[in-house]
Amino acid sequence: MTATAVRETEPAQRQPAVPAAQSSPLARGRKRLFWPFIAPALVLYVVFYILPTLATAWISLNKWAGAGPMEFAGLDNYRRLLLDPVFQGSFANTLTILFAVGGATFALSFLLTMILRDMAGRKAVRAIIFFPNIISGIVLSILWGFLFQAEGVVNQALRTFGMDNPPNWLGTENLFSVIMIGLVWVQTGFFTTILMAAVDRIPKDLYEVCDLEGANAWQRFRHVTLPLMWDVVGVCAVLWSISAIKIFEFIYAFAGAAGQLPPTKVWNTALYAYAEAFASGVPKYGSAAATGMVMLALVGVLVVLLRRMFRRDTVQF
Amino acid sequence: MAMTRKFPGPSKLLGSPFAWLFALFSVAVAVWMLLTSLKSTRAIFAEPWSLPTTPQWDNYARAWTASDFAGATLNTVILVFGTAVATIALSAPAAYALSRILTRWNSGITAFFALGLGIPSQVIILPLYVMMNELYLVDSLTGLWILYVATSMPFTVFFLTGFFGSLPKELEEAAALDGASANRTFWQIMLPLARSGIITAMILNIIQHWGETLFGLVFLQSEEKATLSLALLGFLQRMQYNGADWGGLFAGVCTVVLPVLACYIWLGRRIIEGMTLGSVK
Amino acid sequence: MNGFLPRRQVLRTVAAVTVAGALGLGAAACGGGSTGEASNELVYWSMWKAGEPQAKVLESAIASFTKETGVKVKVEWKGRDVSKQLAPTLNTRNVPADLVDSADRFVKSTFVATGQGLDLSPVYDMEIPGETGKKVSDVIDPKYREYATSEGKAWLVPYEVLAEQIWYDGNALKDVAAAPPKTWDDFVSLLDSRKSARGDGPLALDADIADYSAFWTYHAILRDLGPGAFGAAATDATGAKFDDPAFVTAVRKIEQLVKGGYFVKGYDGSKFPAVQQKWAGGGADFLLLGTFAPSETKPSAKEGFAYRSFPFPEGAKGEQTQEISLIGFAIPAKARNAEAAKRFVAYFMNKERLSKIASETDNITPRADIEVPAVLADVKKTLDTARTHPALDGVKMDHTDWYTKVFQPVNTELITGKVSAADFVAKLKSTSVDFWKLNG
Repeated sequence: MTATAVRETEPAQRQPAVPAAQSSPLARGRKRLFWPFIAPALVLYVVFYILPTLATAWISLNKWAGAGPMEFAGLDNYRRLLLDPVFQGSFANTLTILFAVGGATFALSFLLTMILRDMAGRKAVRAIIFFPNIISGIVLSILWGFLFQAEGVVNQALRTFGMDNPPNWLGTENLFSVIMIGLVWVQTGFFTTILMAAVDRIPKDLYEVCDLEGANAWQRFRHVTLPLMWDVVGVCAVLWSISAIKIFEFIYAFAGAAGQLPPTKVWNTALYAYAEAFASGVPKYGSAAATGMVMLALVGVLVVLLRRMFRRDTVQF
Repeated sequence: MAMTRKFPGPSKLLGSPFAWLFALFSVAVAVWMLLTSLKSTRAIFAEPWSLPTTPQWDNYARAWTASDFAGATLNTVILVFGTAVATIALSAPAAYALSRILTRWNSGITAFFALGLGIPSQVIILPLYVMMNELYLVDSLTGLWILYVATSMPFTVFFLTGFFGSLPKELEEAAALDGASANRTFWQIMLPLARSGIITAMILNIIQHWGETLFGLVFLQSEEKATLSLALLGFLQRMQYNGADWGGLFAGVCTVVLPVLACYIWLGRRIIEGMTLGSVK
Repeated sequence: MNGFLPRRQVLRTVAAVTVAGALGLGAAACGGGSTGEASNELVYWSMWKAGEPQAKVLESAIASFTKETGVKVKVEWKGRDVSKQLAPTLNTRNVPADLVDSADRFVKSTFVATGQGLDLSPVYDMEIPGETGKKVSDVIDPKYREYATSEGKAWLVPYEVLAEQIWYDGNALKDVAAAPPKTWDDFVSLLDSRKSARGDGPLALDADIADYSAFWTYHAILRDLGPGAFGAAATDATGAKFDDPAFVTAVRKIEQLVKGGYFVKGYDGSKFPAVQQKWAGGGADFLLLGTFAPSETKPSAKEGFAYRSFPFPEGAKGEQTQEISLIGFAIPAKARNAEAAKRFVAYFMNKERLSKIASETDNITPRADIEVPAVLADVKKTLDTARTHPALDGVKMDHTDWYTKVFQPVNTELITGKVSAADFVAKLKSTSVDFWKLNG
C-alpha cells in the first residue's frame, strides 16, 4: 500500500543525470571548455595521487629499508602478509570495524533519525551528537581511554549504581570492544546528521497516509522512509567503507605516550602498515606498501559491491 | 507533523529519552574534560569524578607557555582555508565539465577520480615523500598545501559532480539563448546556483584538514611551521614525559577544543545544514 | 668519499637554486648554502621538545658553542619521533639534519642497520674543548662506548645513561631501605608481608605499555639464565632454546607474581600513567621502571616521598647484573655539516656542560667524574659494581619485529594472567619458529 503512495507522488518530469548530446553552438562552445576546466584538477590529481600510488605498487614488490637500495622481491611481501598471524588479525579487525562498527553505527543512526524526526529539541540533539566529529581523533582517544580505565569515571559510576565488579574494560579481552564502542559514538553523530537531512526531504503527507492506514513505526520505516532515502544510504555506506579502512589515530593513540604501539590484538591494517614502516626497527617499506595495496583492493571491492547493491532505481519525489 | 503528534506511540515515549541520553553523554564528556582541566594532576587520579576544589587556572598558563598554540593556530587557519578555497577553485570547474559537458571522456574520467576515493593516504605517503623532497617542497607549508589540495580532488570532484548533475539545466539554456558564453554561464549562473553544494564541500574539506596529522607529521619539520594538530601532539608528548602534568594536558586540550566549540555553537546550524543540504542533493 | 663532496655540493646548490627559482620559493626551499668542511653552521634535530629540562641544558650549551666557535646551530625540537621523521630523508640528497639525538634503539635501527650513520670513532678521539689534553674517549666509560659500537664503528656518543630498577618510597619503607631484598625469595617474602599489610598487591605496573610488562619477564629470565640468553632464544629459528627447563622455571616466577595477586588492582586495565601515579601517591609499594621514574612521577608523589631503588633480585645465576640503555648523539652519513656536528658533540661532553644533564634533568651521565643526582644514588651504586648489558637484552633494539609481533602479545597474556608459564613458553616457541620461518 505504501509503495503505491510513493509512486503517486513522483513528479512527472524526471531529469536525466547527464544532458542529452546536443550539437548546438552552445554545446560546441561548451565542449571547448571541457579540457581547460578539467585539466588543472586532473593534473594535480595524477601527479600527487595516482603516480605515488603506482610507485607504492612498485615498492610493494621490493624489499626496501628506505635508506638504502631497493631489492626486487616479487610477490614475497604479499606472501609474508598472508602468512603473518599479526597481519591476519589486523585484517580481521579491519573487517570487524567495517561490519560490526558500521552495522551498529547505521542501526543507531536510523534509530536516532526516526526518534528525532518529530521530537522537540531535535536540532539541539543533532548539533550535540555531531560535535565529536570536529575534534581530533587523538584527543577523543585519550579521553575515551581515560573514561574506561580500571578506576576511571565509567567504573566509578557503575560502582555507585551498585556494580561491585565492573568489567575490566581496557583488559586485552575487552580493549577492542571499547575501541569499537568509541568509534560508534563518534560516527553515529555524522551519519545521523546526514540521514536526518534525507528524511526531512520526505513529504509529510506520506506519513499522514501511513497513519490513516494504521501502519506502525516499523512499517512506516520499512515502506516509506527506507525506500525514499535509499540513495543517501548508499552514499553513506560508501563514505563509511572508505573512512573505516583508514581509521588510525583513534586506535594508535590508545597506547598513550612513550611512542609505543597498542597491543597487536587491536591493530587494524592501517596500524599494521604504519608499524611495518615506522615501528619495526629497520623499516620494511615494501611490506608497508603491500599492506597499503591490500587496503586499496579491499576498498575497491567494497565500493563496487556497494554500488551494485544500491544501484536500483532511486525513488524520486 | 501535527498529525503524528496526536498519536505518540510507545516507541516515541521511549525514544526521546534515549536520544537525549545519547546527547547527554557527549555533553557529560565535554563537561568532564573542562572540569578536569582545572584540577591538579594528583586530584585527577585520586578522584576523577569530583568537582575541582580550587580551580587550577595555573594549568592553562602552563599549557599556554609550554606550547606554541598561537603560531600553530595561525598556520592551520591559513593552510586549511587556503586548501578549501583552492580545492573548490580547481574542482568546481572540473565537476561542472564532467556533469554538464558531454564528451566521450566523461564517464571514464569521473570513474578515474572516484578511484582516488579509495586510496588511503597511508598508501601513498612514502613515494610522495621522495617526490616532495626532490622538489624541495618538504618542510614547507606551500608543499603541504599542494598535497592537501591534490588529495582533496577525488572526493570534492566526485561530490560536486553529483551536485551539478542535480541542478536544473533550464537556466543554463536560457543564459545561452541570451548570448552568454559558456564560460560566463558557468561563473555567473551555475556557480552561484551550486552555492550550497560548494559550501558543503568546503566545510567537509575544512573539517577534514583541521585535525589532519599524518601528512603534517611527515612533511613538516620546523616547529614554526607546525600545524595545530602537530603542536597538540608534541604538547601531549611533553606533558606526559615531564612529570606527567595531566592537569596541564587537559588544559591544553581545552585550549584547542574550546575555540572550535565556540565556532561550532556560533555556526553549528549553518555547518550542519550546509553539509546535509549538499550531501542529500 | 670526501673527494666527491665539493662537486656534489656544487650540483646540489645548482639544483636547489634552479628548482627553487622555478617554483618561486626562494628561501623556503633550502636551508642555506653549505660550505663543506669549513662550515660554520649546522642543523640539529633533537628528541626533546622545547621547554623540557634536557632541551634547556642543550640550548644553553648551544648558545655558548655559537659564541665561542662562531658556528650557528639551528635546532628543531622534534620530540621522541625524531628518527621516524628523519628516516625517509636519509637516502635522499637532501638530508635535513646534521646532528640528531635519540634513544639507542632508534639510532641503531635507522642508522646502523641501513648504513646511513657516520662512524663516530673520530669524535671519541677529539679533544674536549675546555679540558686540555682530555679526549672524549678518556672521559666516557669504555663500557658505554663498547655498547654503542658495532663492527668497529661507533654509532652513538651517549650523554645520558638509563637503567631499570625497582623503585620505592624510602620514607614509607624504612626497613627495605635498610636492607633491600637480594634474592628472589627475599623479594617474594617482602611482597607477602607488604601484600597482607595493605590488602592489595604491592607491585605497580602500567601493563598497557608493552615494554613495562616485558621488563618483568625478561628480567626474571636474565637473572636465571644470564645476560644474552633471552637474545639468543629470540633469534633461535628452531626454538630449541626455549626448551631449556631453566627457561620455564624463570617464567614461573612471573606466573607466581600474577597468580599470587602481587600486582596492584587495576594494573591490567588502566591507561598509562595511571598506575605509576597511583604508586607515587602511595597506592602501591614497588615500581620496576627506568631512571626516569622520579622525574615522571614527582608531581603526583605524596608528601615526603623519598625515591629509593634496588636492582631486580638475583636469580639462579647468583649474579647481580644491570640493564642499561643510552641516549646520545648520532650524525647521518650524508650530513652536510658533519664536521661542525662533531665539534658540537665533543663540546657538549665537557664536564661542566654535561654535568647539567645530571644536576638539572636528574639523569646519569656516561662520565664517571660527574656526580649523580641524589634520587639515582642507588642506581649508581649498582652500575659501579654490577655487569651491565643492554635493556631487553638488546632484543628490542636488534629484533624489534620479533619483539613486537611474537613476544609482546604472549607476554601481555602472561602478565595479565591469561596463560600459564608452561603455555607461555610453548606459545612463544611455536610463534617464534613460525616467525623465523617467514622472516629468517
